[in-house]
Amino acid sequence: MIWFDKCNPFPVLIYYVAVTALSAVFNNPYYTAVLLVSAVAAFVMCRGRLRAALSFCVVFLLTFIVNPILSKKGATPLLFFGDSPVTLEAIVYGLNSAALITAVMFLFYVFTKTVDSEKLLYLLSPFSAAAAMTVSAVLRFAPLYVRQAKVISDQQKALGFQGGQSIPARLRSGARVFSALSTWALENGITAADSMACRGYGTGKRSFYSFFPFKPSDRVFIAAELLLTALCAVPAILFDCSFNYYPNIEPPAMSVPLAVSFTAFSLLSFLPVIFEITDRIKWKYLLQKI
Amino acid sequence: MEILTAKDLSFTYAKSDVPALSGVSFSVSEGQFVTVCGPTGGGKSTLLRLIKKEMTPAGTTSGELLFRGVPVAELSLRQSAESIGFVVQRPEEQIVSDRVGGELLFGAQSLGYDRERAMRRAAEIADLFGFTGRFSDRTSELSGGRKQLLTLASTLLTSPSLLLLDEPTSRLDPVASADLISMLVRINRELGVTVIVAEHDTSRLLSVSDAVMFMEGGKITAFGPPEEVLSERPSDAVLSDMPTPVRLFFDTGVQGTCPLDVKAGRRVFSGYTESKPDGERKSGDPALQIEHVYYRYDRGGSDVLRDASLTVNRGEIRFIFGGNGCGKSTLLHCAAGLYKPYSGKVKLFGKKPSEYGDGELYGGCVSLLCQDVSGAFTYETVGDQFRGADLSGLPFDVTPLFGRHPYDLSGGELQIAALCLALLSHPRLLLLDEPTKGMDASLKKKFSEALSSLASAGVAIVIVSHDTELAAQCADTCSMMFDGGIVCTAPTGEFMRGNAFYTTDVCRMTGGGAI
Repeated sequence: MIWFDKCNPFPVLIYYVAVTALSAVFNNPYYTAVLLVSAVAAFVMCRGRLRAALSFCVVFLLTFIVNPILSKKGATPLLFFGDSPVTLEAIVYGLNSAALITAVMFLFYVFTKTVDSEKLLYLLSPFSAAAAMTVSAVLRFAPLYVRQAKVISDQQKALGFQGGQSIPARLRSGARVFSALSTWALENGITAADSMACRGYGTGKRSFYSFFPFKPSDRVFIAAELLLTALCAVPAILFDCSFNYYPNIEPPAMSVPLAVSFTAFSLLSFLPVIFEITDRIKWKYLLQKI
Repeated sequence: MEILTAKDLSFTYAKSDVPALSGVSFSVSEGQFVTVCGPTGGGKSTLLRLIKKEMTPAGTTSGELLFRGVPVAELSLRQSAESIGFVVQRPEEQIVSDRVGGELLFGAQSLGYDRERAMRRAAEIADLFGFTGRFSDRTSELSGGRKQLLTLASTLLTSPSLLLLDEPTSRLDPVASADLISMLVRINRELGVTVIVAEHDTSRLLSVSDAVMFMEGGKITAFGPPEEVLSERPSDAVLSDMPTPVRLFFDTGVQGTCPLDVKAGRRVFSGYTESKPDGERKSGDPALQIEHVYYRYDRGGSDVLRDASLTVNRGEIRFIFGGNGCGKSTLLHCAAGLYKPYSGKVKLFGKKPSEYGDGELYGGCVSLLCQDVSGAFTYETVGDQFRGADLSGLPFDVTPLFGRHPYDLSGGELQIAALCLALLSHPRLLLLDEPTKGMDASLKKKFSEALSSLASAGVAIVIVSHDTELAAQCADTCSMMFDGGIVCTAPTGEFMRGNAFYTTDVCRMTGGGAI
């Protein structure tokens, strides 16, 4: 997903919020199916790992099984576990929720591959430059803490201060390492605070600049997203398009507004995939010209 | 024009009766490069911290300290942040952001510069320091030297006219500190920034300074151009901070003007010879045997140790030299049994580390002091760390340090205390990683004597260091490490004469006549 990766983080965030919110609100198996297929397509395009995909499938199966077993709602029993019925409605509902959860997991995988800490900071910066700085400092500090813990425990071991292998001895030496680590962290914090004060931290309002420009393609992406979100949501608000599972499965009647909403949702879900493919074609074409 | 003027400046720390500075008067002109030196506790740091009001410690000040005619205490925080830059010794802890770009722009963002102003300056500074195209790199992945350069670059982003540095190279190896100092010289020469550096190791600073200031006991004992100040012999405490050419000049009593650097020293000392045994391999039983060792941190990574082989005998002092990242520290970790090589053998006194019983290996066989020795201290005071230990056999008296917190010790004191901790178990093999950081020449001399007496008692000592002077004083043999392997081993004298870079200043000046 090179295109998604190079994209400004704002439209990317809007995409994730829009598709997950819409599919959760509609709670409609057709919408969910579209989302799942688009999420898997994005997953494949960003070269997701097979192991991750398999674990998501396990999650799908587990969540799918739980609902029919626990839920006794629904009018059409298909079989009985002892006294409790397993209904068709509960199975369909379980299938929908399992697919929804799995789709979100695939999407989240793509999200973590394309949005790193720097992009998160950028997303945070309009709300608070100070908060963005704090996050950046924490992101820097966490790996440092882990490394220092290793330095201290190696040094303690190499000087023979770590006592024996018994559990109380190991707990004691662990506590000593932790205490040394805390002192180190406080010392480190004081130096960092001094260094911040030296560079004028807290003397006035903090400014923030990022290294993510808004490209024309980002504008197109944002416009397309907002338009499609509106086209998907508005008909559904004006006309009743809800999908009922209980007591009997009642899909909403086929109508023009529903068709518009569904088409818009499908386009929206596949937007990154569509952009990625057009981008690939464009580059191939460009390369041929060079 | 004067950028900084002090008149009868005195300062006493809040919890102390003895003034840290007493009656200091001097003035620094715009664009000067000033080196401040003198023993630990002489008042160097205190003076620098008084100039930068954000860093001024609690205490009482008297006298006048003017920055461009304005008392420093009356500068606004914004003015002080913008026009006076301050860099301290620990590169690791001064960095705040996780990315190079964020760190570089930190000062500019704090002062609320708009994007255009900040980026224009950032572009220039990044090009000067070689951070172009590296804005999204993680700061945690930079080397110590690059971190210190990044801190310096970030400080320069707000165009300060005065730059204060408190022992900026004391945690860096010689290559990185040379880089930092040549960058300081460029900043001073090309950007016209006034630079005041307080430093113990003045070997590269003296010849580039417009003025040097000697501080002892809270007073300025001499201040002026280096040639003038060194027209007579300084006190021993100050002399031990001076570069080798200066020390050799006053120790040998050669006539003429005092050479400030190796280049000038070559003229003075070209015919000088000194007979000293070359050092030789001790013929005792092998203490440490490393045979064709390979090591890497993770399976997908590249080899850090590649076919490394090394034998050190009992009673031998062996130095290992080599550039940063060539695997020196990793080799010591493998030798101490902390890292297990994936191929090859490590033997300590004929046995593999894994064959030693519980508590046997680190309780009398081997001791390792890592590069960052602060990890050795886990108690509130140095005294608690030594509680119940037998102090009689130690080469240094550490009891004066007992009441202090490990983080309050100077670099040299910390190393000494850590060495004593390492000796508590009476190891037969001692492994030291850069043990002389932050030590001045007189302390180094005591340190090397302590090592020699340990070795004559049969202890094998392996030291990874950049400190060629220390090796010349006490090493029997030296090895060169490159790209994960040991490429050569020779007796110290032969090793120093054969090298152009990893050799002592004396050897450079005399062309091998003395080491």
